[in-house]
Amino acid sequence: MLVSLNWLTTYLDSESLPDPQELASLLNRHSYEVEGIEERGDDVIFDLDILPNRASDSLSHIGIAREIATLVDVKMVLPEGDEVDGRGDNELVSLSVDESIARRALKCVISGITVGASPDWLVERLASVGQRSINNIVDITNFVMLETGQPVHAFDYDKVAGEGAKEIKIRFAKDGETIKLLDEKEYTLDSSIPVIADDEKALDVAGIKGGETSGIDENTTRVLLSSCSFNPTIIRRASQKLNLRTDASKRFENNVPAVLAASAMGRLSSLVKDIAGGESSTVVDLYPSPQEPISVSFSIEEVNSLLGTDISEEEVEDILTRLQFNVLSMGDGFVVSAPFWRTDISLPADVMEEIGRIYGYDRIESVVPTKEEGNISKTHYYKEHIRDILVEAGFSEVYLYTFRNEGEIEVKNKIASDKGFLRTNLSDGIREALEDNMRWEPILGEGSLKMFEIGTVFENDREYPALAIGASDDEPVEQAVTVLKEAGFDVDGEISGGVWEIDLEEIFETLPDPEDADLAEIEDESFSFTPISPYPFVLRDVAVWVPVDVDEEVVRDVIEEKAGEMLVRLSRFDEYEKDGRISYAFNLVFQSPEKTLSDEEVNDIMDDVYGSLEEKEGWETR
Amino acid sequence: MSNGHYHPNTIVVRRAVDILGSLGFQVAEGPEVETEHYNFDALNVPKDHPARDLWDTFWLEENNLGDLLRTHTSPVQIRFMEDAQPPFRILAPGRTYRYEATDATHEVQFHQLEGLMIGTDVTLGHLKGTLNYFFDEFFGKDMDVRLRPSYFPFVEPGVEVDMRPKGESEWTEILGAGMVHPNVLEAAGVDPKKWQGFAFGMGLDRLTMLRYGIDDVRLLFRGDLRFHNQF
Repeated sequence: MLVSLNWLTTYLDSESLPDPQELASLLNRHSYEVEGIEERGDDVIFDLDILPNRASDSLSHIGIAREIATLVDVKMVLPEGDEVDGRGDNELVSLSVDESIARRALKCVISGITVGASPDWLVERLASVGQRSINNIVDITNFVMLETGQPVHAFDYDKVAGEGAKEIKIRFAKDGETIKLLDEKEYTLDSSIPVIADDEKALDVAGIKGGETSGIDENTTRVLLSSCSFNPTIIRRASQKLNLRTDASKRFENNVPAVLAASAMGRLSSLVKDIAGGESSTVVDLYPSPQEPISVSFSIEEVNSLLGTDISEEEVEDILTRLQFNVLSMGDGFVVSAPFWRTDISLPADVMEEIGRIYGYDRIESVVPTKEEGNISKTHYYKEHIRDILVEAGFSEVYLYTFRNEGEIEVKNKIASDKGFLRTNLSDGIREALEDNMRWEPILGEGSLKMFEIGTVFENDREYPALAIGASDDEPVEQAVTVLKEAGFDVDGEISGGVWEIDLEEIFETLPDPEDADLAEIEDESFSFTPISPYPFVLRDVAVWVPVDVDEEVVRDVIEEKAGEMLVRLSRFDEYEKDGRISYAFNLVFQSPEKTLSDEEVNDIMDDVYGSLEEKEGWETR
Repeated sequence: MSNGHYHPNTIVVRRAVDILGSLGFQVAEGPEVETEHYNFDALNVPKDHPARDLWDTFWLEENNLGDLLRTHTSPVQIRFMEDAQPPFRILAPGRTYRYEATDATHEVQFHQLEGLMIGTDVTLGHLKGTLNYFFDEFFGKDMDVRLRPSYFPFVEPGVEVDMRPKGESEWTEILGAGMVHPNVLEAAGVDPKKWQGFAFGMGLDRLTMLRYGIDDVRLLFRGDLRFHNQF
């Protein structure tokens, strides 16, 4: 969520605030992740990641200001709004509510307004957090939501059907009922979708989006203002069903407190009158079961034993008071209740988290647990053991994809049409990987296409670990299987086209529990891997006669030195001795990490290589 | 004959199991096809709760194994606790899935390393200590560890953990963790009045990438030997 510092300082004394960087650091360490901080003109915009547990109180500028006031202990001044004196129907509105949808509903009509452009300050506020100005009424409703966290709405009262006290209903839609919303799309509703309706039709999808027919336009003179507290689950299900996520639905599904609906209405009606003029009706407020604070009790020992701290009772009391909890100290414990905006707090652990984060996690001392003997996991051990054996036998381990284009278990939401099933074997993947690797076999070196995977495969009623071994021909695979047998694994199975696969679960069942974890020490020097060049490689050969007493290594050194960095592999493919001389023949593979090498470039390098070989006494290239 | 090569994740897991194994953490495993119960409900993520949006889930057509591909290794915690008696110290490496567009830093399949320690007096300080010990050993140098407030429904307090080599200024976000939520202990049949502890879930692929300077996660799953033969 984007938050404007200028906006925040309308509620906080900017003189007492730390600088923006320090503020961001405080929020990061105690409250929310700050994903961005950007200076825009004389303002600073923070991008905060508000997670679901704080979405009910923190998706607003007042919410963030309140959090800052807690962290830096500055005074906060709430904006003024009309006093909302809730009562029943008035001369313009007759309200009926399905209480399973709305825990609280407030309506108010302002008559004699003028719709027009918003004042500069309002346009600026909205623009600072990336919102476009539409007209004064719509802008005020958006502003109130971004200020308080309470989504509110304004209907054109004269587009609502009825005479006198018009009937407004909050009800579930009828199956097949249609509505065109402010996004100008038509939606077909059903009996799980809540709507605000007049006597004839749905005016909006409740808590999610306004309807087009009751929208505000330049001719609107009377507005019906609406501020409700909706059931979070109903809003969430409806927005999922309609595939319509809005700023309003996001807030409602996270349990916006019912108390807030009233103060937001007060703010809304006062802003409308200030900016667009007009006279207010009384406010209709249906609130059958007022929100009760939840009491939570815990002891200071429980706090310290969970957090690993030594916080005093006084400090706990101070922290909770700063968070505006109601705190009762009782003997060695506390009975506390959260302020109305913290609908996420219901358990002792919830309160202890609050204490911990405000106290500061950086003040918690690190304690390494005392060492202990652990058990060895049998299946994990044997998988690791097989890895050791196969790596020693010259095979490289791969982890391939679970998703395949065929199988027994199908994915509902496929990421791609050819990745719609879970693999039933590892072999298909291994075959493909071998084939892919053939294309760059010269880089890898001859006889090096040897790989294995230990991974999970899936049948309709069973998932199990499998092992597959593959190579460019059967022989190395046969050897690997033999080595596994010699190591005590009772394995069987056919090798088909250089690939062999077995069910490891069956094998493991027959094996004893391992006594100790005698696995190979893997040399694990941290190194930076070399990215794979996407450019084609170029092949060349060279053969050279040298005196018999010259080592192959010496020849290699000469070639490598001249061939330089573009030489990615040098392998000898022939060795031949005659008349006191020996002929070595090499393959050279050239590749650049940055470009496609031209024939000319490689020829130039090869000329240098030939030159330096020829220079040597008694050496002769063929 | 020259040796083959371990998958870099295997190297990282073996290292992790060595380090945390010395503190008594034992390896635990669980299925990749999971039920909604183990992947969400038992982890205090009820149906229709906005927290479900924190995971992009692959759902499965009707089958005899489960509803979905696990989105994290956390179900292993529940399965292990159901079958054993506390105290627990477990480490669960495994493959996990998320429904997400693939690019150099995002993959539909990835791997996590889950840790769980439950006892009568396990604290957030032990979480910090365990992770600090792990990173010191894993990176072979003194590391700083920092906890920041975060939210995962199965822990409370929930924290994001950052690390950096001592003396450096930039933090690297490395994992999510926290004190196991009482509802989770209860769902697994462990009395939250008597037992408490921490859990963490670390991105294994990310740890591998950090260790070896790998810039594209997809390299881990393509079976390209030009990549694998470097390890």
